[in-house]
Parts: sequence; C-alpha cells; structure tokens
Amino acid sequence: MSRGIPEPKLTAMDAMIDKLTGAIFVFQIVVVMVLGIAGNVWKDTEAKKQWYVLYPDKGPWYELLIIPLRFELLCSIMIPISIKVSLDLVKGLYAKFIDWDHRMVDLETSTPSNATNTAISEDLGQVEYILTDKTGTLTENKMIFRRCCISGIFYGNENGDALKDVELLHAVSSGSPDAVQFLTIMAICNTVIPTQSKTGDILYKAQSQDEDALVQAAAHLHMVFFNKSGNILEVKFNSSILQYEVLETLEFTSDRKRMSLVLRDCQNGKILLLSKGADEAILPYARTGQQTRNFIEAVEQYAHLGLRTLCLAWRELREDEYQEWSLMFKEANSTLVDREWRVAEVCQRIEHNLEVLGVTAIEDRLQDGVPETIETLRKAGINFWMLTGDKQNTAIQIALSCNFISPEPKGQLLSIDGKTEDEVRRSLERVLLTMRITTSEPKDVAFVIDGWALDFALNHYRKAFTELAILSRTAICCRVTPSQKAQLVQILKSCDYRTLAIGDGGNDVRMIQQADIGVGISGREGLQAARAADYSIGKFRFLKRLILVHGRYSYNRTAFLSQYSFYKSLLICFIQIFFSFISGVSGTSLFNSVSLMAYNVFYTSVPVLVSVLDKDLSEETVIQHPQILFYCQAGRLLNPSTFAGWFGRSLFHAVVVFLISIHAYAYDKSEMEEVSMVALSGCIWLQAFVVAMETNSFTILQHLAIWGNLAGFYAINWIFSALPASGMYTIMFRLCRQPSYWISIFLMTAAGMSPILAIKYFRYTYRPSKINTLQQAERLGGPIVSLGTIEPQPRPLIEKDVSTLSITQPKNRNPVYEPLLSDSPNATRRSSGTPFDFFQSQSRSSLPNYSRNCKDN
Amino acid sequence: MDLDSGTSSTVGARVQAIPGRPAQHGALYQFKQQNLPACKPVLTPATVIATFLLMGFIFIPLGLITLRASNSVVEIVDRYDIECIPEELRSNKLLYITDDSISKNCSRFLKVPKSMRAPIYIYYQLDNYYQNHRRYVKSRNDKQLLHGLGDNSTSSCKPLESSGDLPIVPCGLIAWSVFNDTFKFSSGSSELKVNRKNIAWKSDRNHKFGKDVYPFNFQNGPLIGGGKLDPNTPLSDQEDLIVWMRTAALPSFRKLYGRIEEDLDADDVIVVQLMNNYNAYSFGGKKKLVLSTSSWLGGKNDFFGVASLFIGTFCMMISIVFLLLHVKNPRPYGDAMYTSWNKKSSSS
Repeated sequence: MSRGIPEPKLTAMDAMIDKLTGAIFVFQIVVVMVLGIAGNVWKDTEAKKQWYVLYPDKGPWYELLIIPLRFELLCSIMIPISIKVSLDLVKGLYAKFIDWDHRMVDLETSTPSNATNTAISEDLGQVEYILTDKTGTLTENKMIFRRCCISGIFYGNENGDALKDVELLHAVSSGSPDAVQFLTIMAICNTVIPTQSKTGDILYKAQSQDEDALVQAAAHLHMVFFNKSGNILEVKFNSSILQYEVLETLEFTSDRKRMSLVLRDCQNGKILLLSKGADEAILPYARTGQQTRNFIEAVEQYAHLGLRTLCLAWRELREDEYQEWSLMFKEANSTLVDREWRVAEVCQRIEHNLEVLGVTAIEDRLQDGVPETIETLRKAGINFWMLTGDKQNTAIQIALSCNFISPEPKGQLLSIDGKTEDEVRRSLERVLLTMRITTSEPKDVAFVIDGWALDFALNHYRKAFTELAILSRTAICCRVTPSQKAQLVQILKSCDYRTLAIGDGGNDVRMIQQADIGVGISGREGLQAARAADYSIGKFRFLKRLILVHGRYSYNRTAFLSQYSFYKSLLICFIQIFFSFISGVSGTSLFNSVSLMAYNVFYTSVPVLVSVLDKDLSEETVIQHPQILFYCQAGRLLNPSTFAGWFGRSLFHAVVVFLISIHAYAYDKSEMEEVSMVALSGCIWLQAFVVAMETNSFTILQHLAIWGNLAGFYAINWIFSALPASGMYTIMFRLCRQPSYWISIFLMTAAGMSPILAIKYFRYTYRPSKINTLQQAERLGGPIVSLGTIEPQPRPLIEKDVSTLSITQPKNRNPVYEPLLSDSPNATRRSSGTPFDFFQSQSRSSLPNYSRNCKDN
Repeated sequence: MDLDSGTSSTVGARVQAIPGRPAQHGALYQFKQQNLPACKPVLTPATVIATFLLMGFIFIPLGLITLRASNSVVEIVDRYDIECIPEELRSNKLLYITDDSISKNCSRFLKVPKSMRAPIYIYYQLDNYYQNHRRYVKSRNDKQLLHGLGDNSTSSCKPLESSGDLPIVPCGLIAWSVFNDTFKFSSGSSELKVNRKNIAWKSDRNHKFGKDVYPFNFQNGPLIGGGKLDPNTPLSDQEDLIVWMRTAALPSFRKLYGRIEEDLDADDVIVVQLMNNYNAYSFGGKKKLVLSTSSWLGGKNDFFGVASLFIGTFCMMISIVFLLLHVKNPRPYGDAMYTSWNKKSSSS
C-alpha cells in the first residue's frame, strides 16, 4: 500500500496558541508604537528641559527610533518564549504517561500502548469524529471458518460450525466432486506458504487471516495443503497426494476484490482456473446458465450473521486459451505505464464463465469491550464512522452488535446506493433530506454507503455529501478502498472537525496518516498501521482511556499551562509598561536583566511544569461521565474568551503589584533596586498563588514545586545579594529585614488573590460548570448523579410531526430501509423544489450545536 | 487557600490487581500511572467565607497598627525652591539660578509641631526629577567608582565619559548632576548638631566606592551640572555622592542629608540656613526640606494603613455577601438539578 508522505501534524490547540501569540504580537506592536510616540513627544517637550539628562539639542533623524526600539526591547518578553520549551516538555510527558499506562497494556500479547507522535496528545481530547476500520480493529481478526454453502447445500447452520457438521464430513468422505473441488480451492487458491515444523505439524504463513482460516479448515476436512516447492503445490487428501503446478497467480487487489490461480493438475494435465473473492466480484462472472440465486441468498444470510463471505469458483481452461492469455498477461506484467490497471484488465479476460462452487463464511469475533467503548465515546459526543472493505450487510451486523447504530425504534439507517450516477444522486438527495428533517429528533440516524456509490458521491456530489457528513453522527461505508478512506477523512477535516482514524492493516495507513490523529492497532495484520500511526494500542477498548483520560488531561493541562505562560509574561511586561509612565516614558527597565531572565526561565516555569500532574476529575469520574469531554471538544478551556480572562488577570495583578510597590516604597525608600525587588517578589508570590489556585489536585510534587520555588526565589536572590559585584548587593538582605517589605508582599497577595478567589468561588458555587459540579460531587462524596443526554443544548424540536415518516416496517428484519420520502406530502412541501439548499441547511445545522458548522462551504 | 478541607484520596491501592504483572508500588510507579496520592481542595462555602473573614480580621488590625506607626512619625516638610528666590527674580528663576553673582543664601524658619525624638532625619526631597530616566540611570560606571581609572572603559558613562580628552572620575550623568544645596540648622541661639556621617549604605561605602579613588577632572568641562567634589577626599567618603548615586525609582524622592541627634520640643523654631544652588527651576521641579523621625515601619507613610484597612473591609464585605448568599440560597453540591447536560453552561 502506498504510504505517501505524512505531513507534520499540528494540534488544534497549537493553532489556537499560535493565534493568541499573534494577537499578543499585534498588541505588543501597538503598545510599542503608542509608547514610542509618547516617549518622543515627552522627550521633545519635557526631557529637553531636564538638563541632567543632557539630551543633545539636535540629533540625527534616527534618534526618533531609539525610544520605540527601547520599548520593543522591554515588551519583547510579552510573548513567552518559554511556552514552547514548557509545552514540549509537558507534551513529552503526556506521551510518556501513555507509554507507561499499565491499564493500556494488552495482556494477551503484552504490548504496551505507545505514543509515537509526542506532540499531539491534546488533540485526543478534542476528537469529534472517529473513523474506524472494522476488521482487526473492532473485531479480533481471528478468523474462524464457521459455515459454508456448497452447490446450494448449507453446512454448519445447525450447530454453527461447519467443521463439525456431520453432513459435510459425510459429503467429503463420500467424495462428492463439488465438495472436493470446494475443498481444493479452499486449500490451494491462496498465497499461503506451508512449513513443516520439527514435530511434523504443518504451520501456515498467510498474508491474510481469511486465507489462513480457509486453509486450516480445509486441512481439518482432510484436504491438507502440506508443501509448496517452487511452483508445485502438494495436497494430501485422504492419504492420496495430489500435485498441482502453479502457472500464474492473479493477485488480490482491493479494486479487483478477488484472486485467482491458474494451475495445471499434475494428475491429468488439465489447466484449471481457481478463483475466490467477494460475491460481487465472482457471481456476475458465473457461467451462463448457472443459477446464482442460491449463492446470493447464502451470502445475504451469512452477512446477516456478521460473517465474512467469500465465493469460490473455478473453471477449466483450454490449452490454447491459456497460451493466448498467458502471452497477454506476461506483456501486461512487463509494461511500465499503468501496469496495475493493465494487469487487472488482462485478468478480467480470463476470469469469466466461472463455475461457482459455493460460499464460505468466516467468523470474526468482536474484541472485548468494543460495544462499551463505542457507547461511552458516543456519549462523549464523538461521532463514529465505520469504514470497511467488507460487505454492507456484514458491516451493518457488526455495527449493530457493537452499539454503533441503534436497532429499529431508536435508530434509523438510511442507505445510499445505486448503480448509476443518477440513482446515486437521487438516493443521496433523499437521504440528505431525511437527515435534515431528523436532526431535530433525538434519534440515531445513520447512513450507509458502499464504495461504488461513494465514488460518485465523492467525485460529483462532494458538497451534498459533505453536508450529509456534517449532519449524521454515524456512518457506515462499505467496500471502500484505502484511498476512499483517506478521502473521507479529508472531507471531515475540511469541515474543521478533529478526526481520529483507527485501523490495524496496511489498507488503513493512508487514512491514519491523513487524519488529525492516527491510531494503529498493533494486531495480527502486522505493524504497518501501528508504525504509521501517532499512537499504537493493543486493543480497541484502550481508545476509551486514550481519549477520555489521556486526551482530556492533556488538553486541560496544556490549556492551563499555555494561558498561564501568557499571564506571567504579560504580568511582568505590564509592570514595565506602567513603570515607563513614571520614568519619563524613556524605556527604563524596572527589573535588572538577571531577574528578568530568571523570572521567565526559572521562577515561573518550574511551578507550572508540575501541572502535568493535575487532575481536575478523577479518571473514574471521567469514564462514568464521558459527556464532560464536551468541554475539551468545544475548546472551552482555551479560547479567546478564557484568554481574555487571563489577560485581565495579569493586568489586574500588574496594577496591584505596581501600585503597592510604588506607594509602599515611596520617598526615602524609593531606591531603584529595592523597588524592583519588591515588585518582582510580588509577582513571584502572586504567580505561586495563581498556580495553587488553579491546581485541582495537589500531589507532593506540586507542593514541592510551588512552595519550593518560592523558597528558591529567595535563596537565589540571597546569593546574588551576597555578591559584591552584582547590582543587587545586599538588597535582598535589607528588604527581608524590613517589616514594610513583608507587609507589602502580604498586601499584594491579598489584594491580588482575594477578588480571584471570590470570583472563582462564586462561579464554582452559583454558576458551576459541569466540571465543577462533578468535582463537588466527587470530592464531597455526594451522590454522583447520572447525566442526561449528550447535547449541550436542546435541539429545537421544530418538526416533530415528521417523526412518523421514518416508521416504516422493514421487511424480513432487514435493517436497511429507506423511508419513502418522495411520497410524503410533508417532505415535498419542505423540499420546495431546491433539494440542495445549502444556505438554509447550513444555518439550520449550525443552529442546534455551534460546533457543527461547516466552514468549508 | 483551603487545603485543609481536601480529601486525601489514595487511588493507588487498586492498581496492583492486574494479573500477569508483578505488583508494583513505590512513588515512581505511582507517578508513572499518574496516581500519586493527591489532596483535592474544595471551595466549600465554609472555607471560603472563613478565609475571607480571617483576612478581614488580619488586615483591619494590621491597618490600624500601621496607621498608628505612621502617625507616630513627626514630619516637617518645607518647600523652599520658590521662597528662596528674591521677589524681584521670581519671574526669571533661570536667571537667578544660573547667575553666579546672585547670592544663593536663604533662611527658612520651621516650627516643630510636636516634640521630635532623636534621631531626626534630614532629607531633601526633589519632585518631578527623573532619576529613573533611561539615559540617566545607565550613565555611570560601577567599576570606575570602585577601582578608579584602572579601567578605561567609560563608555557606559555616555554622554559624560570624558572632558577635554581626559576621563572624568566619577563619570556619567548621575555623578555630574549631584545635588549641592547645603543646610545648616540652628534652634534658638544654639546651632543644631547635624551628623552627616553614615548617611550612605555601609555596603556602598565599603564595596561599591573605592577608598583610593579620588575625583578627577570632575565638573571641569564647559557644562557644569550639580555640585563639585573635593578632589582630596576618596569616593568612599563622599557620602553625599554615594547617596545621590542610589538612583530613585520614582520621580519624587527623598535623600538623606544628615541626622540631628538631639530631641526637638514642640513649638521650637528651627532656623535653616541654606544654599540654594541646585537648579530645579528649568524643568519645574520642586525642592523640599524634610525633617522626620522614624518608626519601626520607616518614615511617615499612610499607604500601608489605608491599603490594609481597605483590603480588610473588602474581605469582610465579601465574606458577609457570601454568607448572605449562602444562607438565602444554599446549594447542595453535586445536586442533580445542576448536572443536567441540557442546561446551557454559562461559565467557560
């Protein structure tokens, strides 16, 4: 599978931080310009009179630039450089926490989870769409041959295991030609390589689990494929050894959906073509006159049970026919341009007129915990799309059994299909219309589409399909190719949704790379997906923990850390700006360079780093109330308005620190170094309390970092104060002996923190967010009530009357049914001639839930 | 903070139940599993209201104490920059200060409002004087002050690093503009003894200004700034200069001139003979003479008291408001009423 070049991924949060940094930069430029102009004006009017400053009467023109550049230098700390370093550090730790998490270790294979990409953990908390592969991801990919249908006779229907079906055993032992041929195809029509172990057991090395299952089953039924040497295949059937010479292998591709083998039966010299493949790739090419209805029924029946089906067929080739075709095949194989397509075309020429023998049904069990995981994550407001190469019915059955879609009265499944472009278009329009109507209902509406229709939809009706994608919370796409998977991811991404793609096989690699977050299951289909992915986990059920625990914590922590970094930089910068108003707008720095550097690098970055250990809610609470993830998805904790709060806080704190230090240290105490240390101490104390206030759970490390840092501040400054060469010689000792210093610090802390505490308490108690409510419930041991529906706001129930439309009785428990919308008077009135009314629909779709608007249209 | 009400949760207890792995304990393991025992404080009404009440109870007395300390300080402030100009020259102050032929002598009479206990600190105060101007604060060379001319790098002293090709010691704007008004005090017929020693920081005298560094080429240029220095006194003994060179952070500042080491009684009249040399007229600055006693908090400064009282009352009021809110509108925590996901959440 072609992997393509993965682009570096950027989290939504990083994008937001970049945006905020940009805003701060603009603010900085404005401040610099205003202060620069003010400084020049002051210089010309006032400073010229101040003889002690000794401004030259006339200077070169560029002296005008000096003051603005000075301010630029002062304000350059406004953008915290340390944020990048801090973020990289904590992101590395988030990834390590994922690696270390023993609850995400697959105990069967003892594979731990692994975060390959250490930079995107926050995105996990903001996932809105999960696109999942089916085989190997939702299921175990442990294929077991369960049933088969040979020439219209069903085996294994009674006991659910064809291998134990007496009738089949009997048919085989009695040498029924169809059954034997069926078994032969099962045994050799594949690319399996048998190896003999020392004990005499035969081990099979198969690329695909299905082939392995078939060969195993055949061996069980006494058709043992035991040796492959060069082109010679040797099969032991009831003690007789049969030899076949492989002439050509027509390989499986996801487009062809079948594989064939051309071989010579060494017993009688006949040339045979053996084929196996998906029903739609085999049955249409059946020999004219053969009744395939039986097989279609069998396939449907098996698909209903969630079994994977393969059709087996064969035919005999004439020598001349083979020779002629063989030349073409060789030629096609040696072309340089479009080889894949040419080969497929040549294969097509021989794979027809087939004698269909029967259908195999292979069971692939669901992994442990898949339904629960999907249910929890859906409650968390995450939409699921299943993208599979399997048959529609199989996919739907699996979807039903793992809570993907709800059964009849609660859910509704709309199908988009059609053989021609026109049919697909009409089907799509109809589904879209239903979807628009039913968005107002608390109903699980899903749509199912197959690869064929998807091709049309993606290429010709992209807009309509995109709208559909936005409207529906669940979708099943069957028979899709790897590139279509990637295209679907692309569509959702283009609407600014955070997508997570999870898969296990090579065919998921492109989707995984395309998605915002790629998760690979390190499973049976090799490590291809896991290697390409950002995260690899052992089992699907770990996804719950990955998103709800790790993703959510990472988001929360980064939200705090990044905004705090801006806060502390702004705080010190605002003080500098205020100071410039009392220093003749000349751009004097209140703080010395050592303090400024240590402030950013040391004093303020250490306490906040331990916020990686902060947990606002316990893991158990989050898992119980997955709806809380909505706060992360909607970006409630880091957005311009929360940032404005932090901006205001830093402004307020700067005012407090500045006013108190210049008033407390006025007149005879207004020594520059002392005032600067008082202000700096105030900043350090305030930031320690801000971190403490915003910390939800204090571990020993937090206490150590927050209060230890405060002690460290004094220790460092005492050291500097002990060095005669430093500018702050004796300053800190002098200050610490003055009661007025401690009173000033006390005043600053109280004045700075009490309004913040008051506001926080007020919100916490009287305007609690859901997080606060759960915190209260969790910590006070109160009753943890179960939370209601997922929607943050009630969707306006405008069109209740249409609910009757969807209730159409499905025939013979087929979950796929389409409400006959065009017959409904309601629907025709509503559609009012413009089936693709994007404008209207867009505003409607954005109404109920603000995050659901497509920014693409 | 109300850490006291936190519940200490030890979730680590149930982690070793995983089969197939050796049971792991220890702080490192707990850290890796993000399971370190943590204390989770809750903002309960009781703790918050109590915190605010406590802050009120701390700050209001603190305010009263500091106000008392500030009020115990007796302070005499006399602005003399205008009064010391002869009436006829008041319209042209610049001429008065720049013309050397005009006598700068001036007498001021200060009445002591309350008895003042020694030591009485004498400050001169300058208003609207920007010692914190960027050009000004940087214009000095600490190395030169300590080691003299050994280091010839006086570039930091711009724009006054040298005069007539010879370097200046002490160089720079700050030293150049040293304050040079002088004051003499007498009470009744006797002269008051003013101690002018030890007015600068001891650390400055010992470690920042050299004992064998003498002023050189100082105030010899065409531009005369402030006062002159005695070229035969080492810098470490030039305490007025040392005091001056501790630049002030605010445009209004006081600098110590000396100490009167005897008590003054109420209603005493102090006669101050001063030399009004320093030019604060060109930029509209004010010059004041301040006599002040001191308290444990320093000089007279009502700010601590007022701010403490303000914060104290604010905290009290907040705690009362919250108390009323809580009594009128008690909110059980974790109530189902407030957990409905359908309610629009207002806080972000």
